[in-house]
Amino acid sequence: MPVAPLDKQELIQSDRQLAMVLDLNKCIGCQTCTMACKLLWTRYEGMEYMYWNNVETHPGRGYPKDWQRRGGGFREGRPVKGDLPGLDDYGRAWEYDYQGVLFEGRSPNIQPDEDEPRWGPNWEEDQGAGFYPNSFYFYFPRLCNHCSRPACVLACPRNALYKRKEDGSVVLNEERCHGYRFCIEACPYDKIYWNAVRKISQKCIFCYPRVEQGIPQACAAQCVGRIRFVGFLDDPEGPVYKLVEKWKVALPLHPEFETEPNVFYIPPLSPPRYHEDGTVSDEPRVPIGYLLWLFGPRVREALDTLKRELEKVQNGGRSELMELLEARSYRDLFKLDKSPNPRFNEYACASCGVAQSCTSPLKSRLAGTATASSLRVLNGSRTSSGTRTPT
Amino acid sequence: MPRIRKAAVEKETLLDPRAGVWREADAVKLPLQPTPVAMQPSDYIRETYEQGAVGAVQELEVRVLHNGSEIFFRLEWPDPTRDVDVSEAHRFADGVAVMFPFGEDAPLVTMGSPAQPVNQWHWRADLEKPYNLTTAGLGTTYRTPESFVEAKAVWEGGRWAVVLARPLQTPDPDNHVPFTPGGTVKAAFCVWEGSHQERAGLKSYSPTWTEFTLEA
Repeated sequence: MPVAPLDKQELIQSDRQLAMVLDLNKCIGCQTCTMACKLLWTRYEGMEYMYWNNVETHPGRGYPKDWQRRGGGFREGRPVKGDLPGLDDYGRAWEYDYQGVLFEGRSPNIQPDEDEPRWGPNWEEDQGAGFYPNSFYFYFPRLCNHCSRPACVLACPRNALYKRKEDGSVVLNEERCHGYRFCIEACPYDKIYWNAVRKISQKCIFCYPRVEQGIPQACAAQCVGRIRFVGFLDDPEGPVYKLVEKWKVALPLHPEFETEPNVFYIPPLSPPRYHEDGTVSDEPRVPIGYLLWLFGPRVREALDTLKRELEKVQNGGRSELMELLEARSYRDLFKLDKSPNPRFNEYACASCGVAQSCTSPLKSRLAGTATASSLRVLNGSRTSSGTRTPT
Repeated sequence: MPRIRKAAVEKETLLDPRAGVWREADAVKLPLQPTPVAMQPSDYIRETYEQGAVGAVQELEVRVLHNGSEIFFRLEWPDPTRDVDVSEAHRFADGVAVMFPFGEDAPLVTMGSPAQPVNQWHWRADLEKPYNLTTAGLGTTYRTPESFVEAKAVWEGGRWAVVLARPLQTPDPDNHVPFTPGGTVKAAFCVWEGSHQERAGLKSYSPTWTEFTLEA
């Protein structure tokens, strides 16, 4: 029999909030986060075009195309109509004509074997804006913001979405979802995807099965640039609290959408612009106007703090903020519980998601104190999350 | 009161919307109206959809027959677009549903209440089988694991004709309203126009119950 509807306020409340900070100054656009997520969660039928995590080049139109101008979120507290992107807005996946080129001499170049592709998840890589010598761009990794005022949860007529009590991750109950797609419309970040095979919507789950085992999200754990910090917002010892609350250098993306994101970005510093005569100006290469558009007015203060602390170190001083951002140790990046997590030494191995069958000689070195039992824990968590089996 | 006549015809024939036997059934023409947007179960839908934007289909023709073991609803309505493709997020399928009260006084517009639940059969053009649902008020729709409902649909000349069939009795009367020859059948109807992005509570519906006599 049917279940009584839950109060929306009940659905969006959580006891604690897990959050992530991404330092845009360190992102090299390698897409390792994208692939870590893709291999772990979205490699099944109907999910081909889904990138729960993607890295865009900004300025740019992004993925899906023009997501920043497609509506959703709130304005002065009221919901804003959003639209539903089509496959052309994501770009249709293509195969390359290897057979024709390698075995049938059809063309000297490997090319898409069907229609000319017109868009894709990283279509505008390194394109950016401006003209030499003042052209600029930066990489922008994006995932679900696990908002404190999640437009998707509030839009769903089925109450299929909710925030997890224990960590505030926004998750979608696939059994309650009837594929109505109001959540996709309502998310101003366009981070919910339509699975046309299963006829349900799907989204980032903040890797909660990993987090429950004391292991950071795959996108964060795999990041070679060490740009991602993970911790609870109420944990003053954690890196996220320090960057968001204490130093105030990490800001939500498009705060004007009013969804109160829990993924925060450290805005990019940039070298100075050149005047026409070749002399150096006082203006940063990345125009402040662009950063104001992305992060709102608090970006000025964040950039000032970053510059001030950077100068301190350049002049031979010390800075807690700069040492945190350097992230010499992985331990500085992640703090999932209030007490130190004994599995921290193991996550480097665990993060690859193929822990059991991995034969890399690095495994034992990276894994440190990893034991057979801890690997069993990992495999257990993966089995319980669905149809997944170790590769 | 329109009759549900008994036709001594096998299921496969009655399931066919084009079968000649349907000419023998009483035809009921029902005016449909848009569902009230103000009653939709989320702020987002209430505030971002305009009343005039939903409820594209304005009439439905209903014919009902039974053959002693199954009951058949033939539903026909005008729809210039055949929407069966949901391969992209902005594509929605056409659909139709029949709703039955479990008790006498179930409220129609709220799709039942906790004390007066209702039962629906939901056919959608992109699905192989219709769903059976139970609902106890807006936002509580529940798809039962077993459906027992079968359907055949034809779209031609800008009209859908869909036959929905189910055994008069099922092993699970708590989730599937039972029908007894000699008794009455109370039903309400709704239609979704996919190309108008109609789905969930955004649709057109018959605002009153229609009561049929089920011939013995």
